[in-house]
Amino acid sequence: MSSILTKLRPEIDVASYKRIDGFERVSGKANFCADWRLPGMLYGSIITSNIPNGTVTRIDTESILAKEGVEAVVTCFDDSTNWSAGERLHERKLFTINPKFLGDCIGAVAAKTRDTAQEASAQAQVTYEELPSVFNLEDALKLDAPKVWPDGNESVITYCYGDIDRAFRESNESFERTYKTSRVHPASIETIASLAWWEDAGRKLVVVAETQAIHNCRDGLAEDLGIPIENVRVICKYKGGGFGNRSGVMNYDLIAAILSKKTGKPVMLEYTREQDFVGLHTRWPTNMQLKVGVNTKDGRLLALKLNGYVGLGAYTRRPKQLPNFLGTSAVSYFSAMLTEEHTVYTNTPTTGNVRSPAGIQAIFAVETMIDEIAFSLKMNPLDFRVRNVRARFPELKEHFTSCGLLDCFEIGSEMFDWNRRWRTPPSRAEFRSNKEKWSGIGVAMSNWHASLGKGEARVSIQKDGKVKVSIGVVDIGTGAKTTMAALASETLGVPIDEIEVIWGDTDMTPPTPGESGSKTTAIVGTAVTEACRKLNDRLARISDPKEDRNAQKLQEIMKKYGQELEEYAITDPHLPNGKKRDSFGVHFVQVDVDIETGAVSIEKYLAIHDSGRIVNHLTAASQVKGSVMMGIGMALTEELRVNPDYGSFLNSNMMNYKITTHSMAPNVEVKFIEIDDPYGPKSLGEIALPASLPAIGNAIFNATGIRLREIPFTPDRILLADS
Amino acid sequence: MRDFAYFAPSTIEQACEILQERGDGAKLLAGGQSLIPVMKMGLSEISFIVDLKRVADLTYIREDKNEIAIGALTTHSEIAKSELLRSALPLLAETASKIGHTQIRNRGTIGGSICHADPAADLPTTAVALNAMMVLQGAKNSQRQVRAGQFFRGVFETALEKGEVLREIRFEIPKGASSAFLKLTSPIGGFALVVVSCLLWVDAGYCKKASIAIGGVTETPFKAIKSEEYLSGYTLDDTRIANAADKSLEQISIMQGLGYSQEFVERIIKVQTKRVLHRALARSEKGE
Repeated sequence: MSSILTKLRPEIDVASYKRIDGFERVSGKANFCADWRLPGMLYGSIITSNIPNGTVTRIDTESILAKEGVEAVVTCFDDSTNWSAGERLHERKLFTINPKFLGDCIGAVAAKTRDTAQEASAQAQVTYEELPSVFNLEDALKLDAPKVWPDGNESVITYCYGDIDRAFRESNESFERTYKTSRVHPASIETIASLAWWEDAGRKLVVVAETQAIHNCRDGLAEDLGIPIENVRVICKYKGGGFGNRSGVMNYDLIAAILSKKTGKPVMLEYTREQDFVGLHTRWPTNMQLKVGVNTKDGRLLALKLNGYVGLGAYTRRPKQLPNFLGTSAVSYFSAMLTEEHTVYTNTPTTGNVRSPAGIQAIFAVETMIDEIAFSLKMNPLDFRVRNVRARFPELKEHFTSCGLLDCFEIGSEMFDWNRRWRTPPSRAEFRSNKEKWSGIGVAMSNWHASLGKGEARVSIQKDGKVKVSIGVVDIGTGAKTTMAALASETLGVPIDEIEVIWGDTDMTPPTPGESGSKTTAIVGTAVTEACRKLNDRLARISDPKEDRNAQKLQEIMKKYGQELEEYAITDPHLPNGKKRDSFGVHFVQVDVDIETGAVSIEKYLAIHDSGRIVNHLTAASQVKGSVMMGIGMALTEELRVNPDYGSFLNSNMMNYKITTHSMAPNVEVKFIEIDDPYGPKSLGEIALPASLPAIGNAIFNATGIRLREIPFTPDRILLADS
Repeated sequence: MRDFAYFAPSTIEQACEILQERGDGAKLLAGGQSLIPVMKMGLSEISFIVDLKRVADLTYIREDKNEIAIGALTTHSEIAKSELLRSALPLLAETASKIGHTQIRNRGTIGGSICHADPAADLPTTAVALNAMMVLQGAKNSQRQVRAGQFFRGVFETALEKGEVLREIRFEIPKGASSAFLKLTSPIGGFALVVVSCLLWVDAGYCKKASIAIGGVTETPFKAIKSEEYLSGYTLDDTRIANAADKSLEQISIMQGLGYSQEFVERIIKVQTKRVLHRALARSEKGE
């Protein structure tokens, strides 16, 4: 074990920069979208469908306009703008005549005050012709089920690698289990808002959006409104949580633009928290049937078959990207896998990518299943995992650009003192003995793809020696601004407080693909480093290259040189054929389960990650902690309940939809295994989430002997599972 | 939120008059920790807010012979931190210390919480266990007193008549009693599923008297009389306590819409009642 520990390179200077924008964020100086006020600004509010499926026959716009303070109303009868990013397979209108879920947008109002706008939209008189609806997966799959889209509710996607038939033939035993995940909402603290106005005699659109991707948002606005890209400017300086929901243009951005065009005034469109729950997509609820082939003689996992049903709601956002189970950790264990995925439409609100999309569901299933098999084989679940990963390791090393998975397991095991603490779960009789609390430990791992792609950055040194870094990122809460400044700081050799970051405005920054898919540090960071290297080359030509660089020296050089230096970098690395790039994480958790109330508390949490090089340890550790908090919420409390009669949500507010609170939050210990990857930093934000669900579930099993196969693990599920 | 008119009278008499004039559309503001969320959710047709904050002398905790009198605008924090209450009425101080979060305890008041009569609230249950007396003031300075057991009439319903204000809550000091309060929430700080408050008069393990109130699961907090009777006059051991807890289920019909199955709610009531009794007994053994 000690040989592995020496790999941790304690001599490396661990950079832990505090956020360069920390003060403005905590002092309230940071302006989020809904904080903006402009002279003459109107407020917008959407009119939504009161039926889950059917046709709108009339909207009484006269009575809406008659209300004092209302300045404009747009409905599905007078605007047919297509929201191209709104549905992956079908056409989705901004305002639909054919609402497909209760809450679908059919119009919008602009008024002088927020209250007037909200009242006017809520009181809109709408008549409908209602059609039969279908709200759950099982019903939607029936032959005579109402069709949400004309071509049917179900489609099937398959994916495989390896020789699945042979792998099952070589297995002497197979295990079958079914796992379910619930509908979960990202519940960002910042709710939906968009502020739009038109400049330059109505030619140029400016949108203050709450987006994860200013450039994608701009491109989408231009495409859907039919105007040139250069005539759209998108600004987002601060974002209160993204989680994959806003990685392109959103319908509310388009609606604000349309209302502003119509009134000639700036329009702030805001959603209430309840509208936010319905208007932003949720995770896909899933029902996953797994079959695993095992050679029980040597404890080897051989084959995995996953047959999954995925609830799409009435629409699923993210064009061209299917919900998929490919992002699973399966490749680290199995030489062969087959997934068959049935996506199913229902008349319920929209679904789509939410942090660690689709992988999180599959990783919950796979990592729980592996724990179940280890128990059947009477093996320590950590040893069982390590044995299988080690057997696959020669292939994994070839398959991935770098792989620190075994290190994560081994170092984590030592830090958590796994082998001393682990014991078999209590028998039923033991469990029911007169003891209030049982304690248990669990482990789970995950892989996550680490994207590469085109990154762009502009870096300049001003005449006074100050450095400006211009990047098209938003900083959705990850600390991306600080990370970029840190990269410029280390490459140019000047202190971080001499660096100014220009961000969050499409007119001022180079294009970027947006902050999603855990790729900003890897993609944009590489471009920042490259631009700084180019500047270093130029500085070397105009000064003594051997000179140590500091702020004062830089100032002197620039004074002598007399003009600004600027470099632009576009980096677009590609992996060699067949290679993959993944990050790895292993989570260890200890839970206490109150056997009389079923309440679970997280007592200890350790997250070990290989995300390649860590640029800023402080923000990186915060990313992991944030993801774990989200995971604890999904594991223990979060579930959007669907009304069986209307398909609407029963708990679409923060009082009844329970996210992790500070008082529930354990201290999360984070450790990074910094293994060099030839392509630089790997992904981090998303990988830190999926392992938390199975790790907690496995710990509950270890504590109680109760195996839960459906999240969330609520007290009643735990208590009633034992009765 | 709908538009509303706002008035901050300086006397209770004025408040009573306005309530009388305005009828059902008028509502007292006494901390706002329940009222404001209710208004924001559009659940209430409130058109006139009568804010009590300018009314003098509604914030106090006084000892008066064998009783404690608490002004209706006394905050949960003040109750939780009061040295007097911690020694004379520890059950009330313990209950107040467990309400919501710090911010809620700093703003919310005992009168506001009791008059809101939310089945999942903490103070109404403890008020029933302590057999509190509500001092109500009506028009023309008229006063009447109602026991907690008769004060709570239903979900968000109380014995307050039109134009009446709760001005004071009086508690008899339960001499020689040990007490405990327990609730199960998910998550911490959220609304309670089950709330249990109890008082035990125990002498060397022998129970002279018990008072148990259970809230959250029925429309109003209920007195678990069967459990109390089962304990009174007996020496308390694990079996007697467990059986007493089971007896609490004999007299209740659990509300619909709690979001959990009947079986689960019943198990939680039994467990929480058992635990609260054990806790009070343990305190009596330590002389608390």
